[in-house]
Amino acid sequence: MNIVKQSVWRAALAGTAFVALMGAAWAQDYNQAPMLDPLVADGTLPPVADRLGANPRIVAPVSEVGVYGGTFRGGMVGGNDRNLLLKFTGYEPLLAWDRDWTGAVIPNVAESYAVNADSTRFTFTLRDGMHWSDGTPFTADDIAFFIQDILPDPLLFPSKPTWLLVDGELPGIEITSPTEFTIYWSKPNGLFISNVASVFGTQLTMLNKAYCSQFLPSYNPQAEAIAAAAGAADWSEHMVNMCGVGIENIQRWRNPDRPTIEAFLITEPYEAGATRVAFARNPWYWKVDTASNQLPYIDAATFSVNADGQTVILGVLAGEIDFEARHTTTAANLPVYVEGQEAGNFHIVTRARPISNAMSVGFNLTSADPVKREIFGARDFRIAMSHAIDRQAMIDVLYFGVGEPKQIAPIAGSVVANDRLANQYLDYDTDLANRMLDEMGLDQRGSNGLRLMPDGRPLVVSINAIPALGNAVDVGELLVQYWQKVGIDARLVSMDRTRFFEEIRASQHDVALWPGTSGGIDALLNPEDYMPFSEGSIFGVKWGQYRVGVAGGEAPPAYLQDQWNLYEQIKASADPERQLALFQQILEISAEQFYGLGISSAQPSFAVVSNRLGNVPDGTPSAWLYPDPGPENPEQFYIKP
Amino acid sequence: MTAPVPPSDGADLLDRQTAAGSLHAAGQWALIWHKFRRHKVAYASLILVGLIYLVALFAEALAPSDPGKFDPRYTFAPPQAISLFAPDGAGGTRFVPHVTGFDITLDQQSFRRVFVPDPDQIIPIGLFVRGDPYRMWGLFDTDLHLIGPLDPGQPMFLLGADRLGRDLLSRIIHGTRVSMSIGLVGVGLSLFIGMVLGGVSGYYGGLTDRAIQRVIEFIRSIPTIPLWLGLAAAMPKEWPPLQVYFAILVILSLVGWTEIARVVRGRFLSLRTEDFVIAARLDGVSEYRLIMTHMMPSLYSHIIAAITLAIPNMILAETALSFLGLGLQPPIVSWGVLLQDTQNLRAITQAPWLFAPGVVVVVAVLALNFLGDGLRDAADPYEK
Amino acid sequence: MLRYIVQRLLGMIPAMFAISLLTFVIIQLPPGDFASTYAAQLAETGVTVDDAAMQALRDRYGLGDGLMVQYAKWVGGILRGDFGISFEWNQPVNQLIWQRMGMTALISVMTLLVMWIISLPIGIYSAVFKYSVTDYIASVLGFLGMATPNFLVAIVLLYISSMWFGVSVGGLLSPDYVKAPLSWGKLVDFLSHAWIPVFVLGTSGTAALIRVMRANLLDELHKPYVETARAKGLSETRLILRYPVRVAINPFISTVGWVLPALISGELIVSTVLNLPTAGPLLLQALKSQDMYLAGALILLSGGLVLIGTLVSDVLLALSDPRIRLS
Repeated sequence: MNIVKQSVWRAALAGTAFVALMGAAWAQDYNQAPMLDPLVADGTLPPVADRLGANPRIVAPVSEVGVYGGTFRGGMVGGNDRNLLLKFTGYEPLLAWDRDWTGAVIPNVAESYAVNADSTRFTFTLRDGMHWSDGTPFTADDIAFFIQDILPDPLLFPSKPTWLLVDGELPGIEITSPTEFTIYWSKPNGLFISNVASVFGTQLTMLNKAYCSQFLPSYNPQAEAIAAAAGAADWSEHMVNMCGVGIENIQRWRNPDRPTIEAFLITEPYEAGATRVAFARNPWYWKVDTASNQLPYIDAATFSVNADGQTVILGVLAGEIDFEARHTTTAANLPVYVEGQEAGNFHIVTRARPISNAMSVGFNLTSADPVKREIFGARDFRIAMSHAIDRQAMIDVLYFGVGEPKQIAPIAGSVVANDRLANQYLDYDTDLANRMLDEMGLDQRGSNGLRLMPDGRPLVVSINAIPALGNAVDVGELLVQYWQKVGIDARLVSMDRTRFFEEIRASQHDVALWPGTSGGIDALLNPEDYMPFSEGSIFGVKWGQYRVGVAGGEAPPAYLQDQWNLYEQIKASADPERQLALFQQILEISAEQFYGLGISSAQPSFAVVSNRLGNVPDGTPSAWLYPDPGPENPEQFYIKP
Repeated sequence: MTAPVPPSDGADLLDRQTAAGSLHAAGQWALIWHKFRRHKVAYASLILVGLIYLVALFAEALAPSDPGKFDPRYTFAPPQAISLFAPDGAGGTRFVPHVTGFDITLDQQSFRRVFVPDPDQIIPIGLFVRGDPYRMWGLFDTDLHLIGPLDPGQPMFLLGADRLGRDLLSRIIHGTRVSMSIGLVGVGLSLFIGMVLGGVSGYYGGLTDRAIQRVIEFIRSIPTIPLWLGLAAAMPKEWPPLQVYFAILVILSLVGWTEIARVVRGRFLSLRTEDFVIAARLDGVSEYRLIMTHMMPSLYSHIIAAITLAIPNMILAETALSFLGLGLQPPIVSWGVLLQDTQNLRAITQAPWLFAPGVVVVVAVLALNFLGDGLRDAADPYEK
Repeated sequence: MLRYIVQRLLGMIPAMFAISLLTFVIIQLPPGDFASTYAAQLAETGVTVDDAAMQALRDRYGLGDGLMVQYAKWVGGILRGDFGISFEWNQPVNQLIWQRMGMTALISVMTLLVMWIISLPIGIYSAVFKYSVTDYIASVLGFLGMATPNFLVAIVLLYISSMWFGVSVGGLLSPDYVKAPLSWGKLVDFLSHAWIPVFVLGTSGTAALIRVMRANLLDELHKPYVETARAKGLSETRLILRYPVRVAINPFISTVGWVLPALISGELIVSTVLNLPTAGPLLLQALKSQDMYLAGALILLSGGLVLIGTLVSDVLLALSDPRIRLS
């Protein structure tokens, strides 16, 4: 029922002209939250139609038109959970993903866009009369402020976001009118529109020029003095403190004075020692529902700050948290939630996880140890190790039998799926594994009965795993037992994140365990699991570093250079069909090379939703590039009276 | 001191009179032992502690299975009870020590296995059965286990299974070795530092004494957990588990020695003025000999009491560190590592048997405390 | 008296200095620094921090300086009231520790008082009725509290209080009361949350206090002045409460010196489980992410709290017993 409704609306939204028409037709009779009525009456706020502008975005409610009022209650964990807030209220890119994440983009801040034939120039049209939360107009100048004044600054952006770089070149911008601008490069950027709709794209609409420029010396000669007066080390530190600047800066959730275009405005900042973070509705929010009600429905949102996930679970069970989809929605906790549903008055909805594998097992192909590099680099070695694992048993233990034995690959059924990459070398066959290991020259055994390396040293394979990360340590413990059975002296090393990444950056690890990443349509944007691509490619870090230009990188072998070249062709293409075809060529090389081992297809995740919270969809995806619930439009969640 | 003595009959009284007669000639240890034995709780605790250390010593043989052996079929299997008799099929019963098997269904909605005991599935168990192979004390290979299912393939989870279907009882038994040895070795280390510094402090007195006392006061004034946390966080992460184990021992001992030093110093101070020490010194006995052969023996009883009381603190400290994720790490199994599994609502609501290691910790710590208490009381046999 | 207090205060200076040195060593020990932690964090969301950016970060926070320079800067700053900056929170440490330390002190002192209130009468009773059934039960219960790991009890109690009694989960106040002005309702709400940490922390130390009180009182009960008083026909209750208890209570008060550090330690664990707005969770997180100045300030102040607690108890003792001032 809901699904039908949704798809009707997707069809409706596909034509931007149609949306513009509807907006204009309804401009006279918008409704607003009752709490805003007195503010309009006493002149603090202009009437709702004036605040919305000529062409607000129309958001189709997931299930039904909601009612105004109420407070949304969430739970955060730890001092570094800024991205929970980003996912809840920070997803306001120029163009947005559709709710089902088919890969299509729909209008959001921009009402329409156009791309030239060779994907070098991207022209966006903004909504006429859209405002920041302080009532000032949102214009092309604000976008240009980021691209011209903030992005190039070495203090504010010492590392440039890679999605904005084309061959090291930063974008330029041309403003044709307050509502129209063009972003361009000298070379093609075929993935730009997808990136704009991803979580990264929220960067472009984050900064209000009028407010934030006061902290910049180029706009305000007093900037240094203001920074010093506020106790900051320099103007850039003060700028970050006041405006946040980057999408992941924690400071953006601190300053209630900073104008935003988001549905909720911070009222109790996320700072150290805070036991909760709170938001209130943005009266200038520029979206309406299908019945001309200004969004959001909900008046306010609060998030408790928890030291540990267990109190979040307890909060859900006790009916104190309305929505949780981030810290505790693991298979291990599912039985607890299922059992507590009735008493806690909540229900569970599924969330697809389009990731390449439940856990990727990355042998370090660029190991700092030359002998190990040779061994790990041998494809037969990795194939043997793959045959040494009983995946079905692991799935039964770790994932309660949910999931299929798979290698690291885009998920089955997606437009980027590759059957060979996903399904090769999956059989559990210790004889075969032993034979292959013997044949490749690892047939010498030490006094403990385990294999020696060709130089006579014992072949010790450390498996690095982070305890805090899902069940990585459990996976590691099982891998140790399987690999010991074929004579490999595998050892589990559990370590914290910092150490984990330090070893990876230095390429000192043997095997690292990390959940698979982009395995859906986002594989095109982030193919790090399918070839050494960045530092996130834990199986070929040195090559990844070479590609992104980090010191210490090593030049790639020929097959990898081929993959990189193919990827550059994807970026140069504006044709989605051709991009997918090229990507299949990349995946064929990945299948040939068999870079890393996978265990199981990813298990679906879930979200826990209070029964009093309406309009939360079921079955939508969950990923970093699709920062749920952001693309599900939390502004149309409502509290049932 | 009047220890609680149960009402005695005539024979007992006679025994005690005879014993009392022999006490006049008894040595120090005999006196302590005599006094200690009258403290019933402490005496029982001594036996219990002895048993626990035996478990630690023979962990491999006592554990029904390998502590790391996982089984996909039995994740979160509840404990099974041992029954001695089973129906013989002809309406009567026969003697078959056994546990009852499970009917296992997978609850698709909640990703959970539901275990229903099935009385028809009888899994015979026995003593000294063959099971998972192991290497005893690194000396010889065997697969003999004190208790286990006759068919090693069948499930026997006397205390239930954990999230990977590992036998909790076997894990607790193996954890006993790590946890109890952390206590013992850690205290040994503390003892060494404490004896040396406490002895020096008490024997020489004066400025040395004051300096060492300042250090002790200082260390005791620092809240220990932040200190341990800091030190544990400082541990290089590439250390193998065994090295981490020893590092944690050292960390715990760095704080633990102060109490022992305090006791040693106090005794030294009072012994210094005892006639026999002065006599020995006037006799020209060397300082080393004076301390080691004359003073130390009268300290042993106090020291034993002090270390007995320090062991439980070490054990609790290890559980705390492991709980905070800064202690021992898998695959090493300690009670603290096992208790990490209880810190979630899953364990509380659906697998309460995971709290069994907690009960074991409480019992062990209680026993050690009562034992230490009794020893302390008995340490001064000449006191009333 | 004033002279005594001043003397004690002066004595605290070298102790604080020593604690600061030890603290600094501890926060410097872990390999790596915040820059590497930060890079690791960003790596999770696919952002690469290149070496230049790492260097910029290190320069900004002075992480590249020599150890002595860093220590001098740190202590120098503290003397001026500046505890440095929390890297993770990007805020001056000053802004975030005081309220949390205050809460830690509040919980610790509350627990201390509760422990005294419980252990004093039981200790007296156990001494007077030595080896009675009650004496045994008290010591068994006390030992049981001591033997049970704090965190084990904490999460079970938290579950019971929120699922069975409907107390809001975690924290020390319900969300509605956090910003509310002081009122009876707020106090009741506070107590309905605070009893768990107080109980959990209290159980672990009460046994020891009971034994101290019992032992002290036993020593006194055999002294001749007690016999004299008894011979004079004083009622037993008055006799015990008036004289021996008053003498035995002095060493009892001086237990602050070792009870307080244990409480602050235990608080750290318990508050992490219970999600209390105290120093514990903040410190744990800071240690894990190498947020060194925040961790340093919290360890330093924990030490300071103990010194102050000891000082207060010593002053109380000195007030009640003039002999102590002279010795």
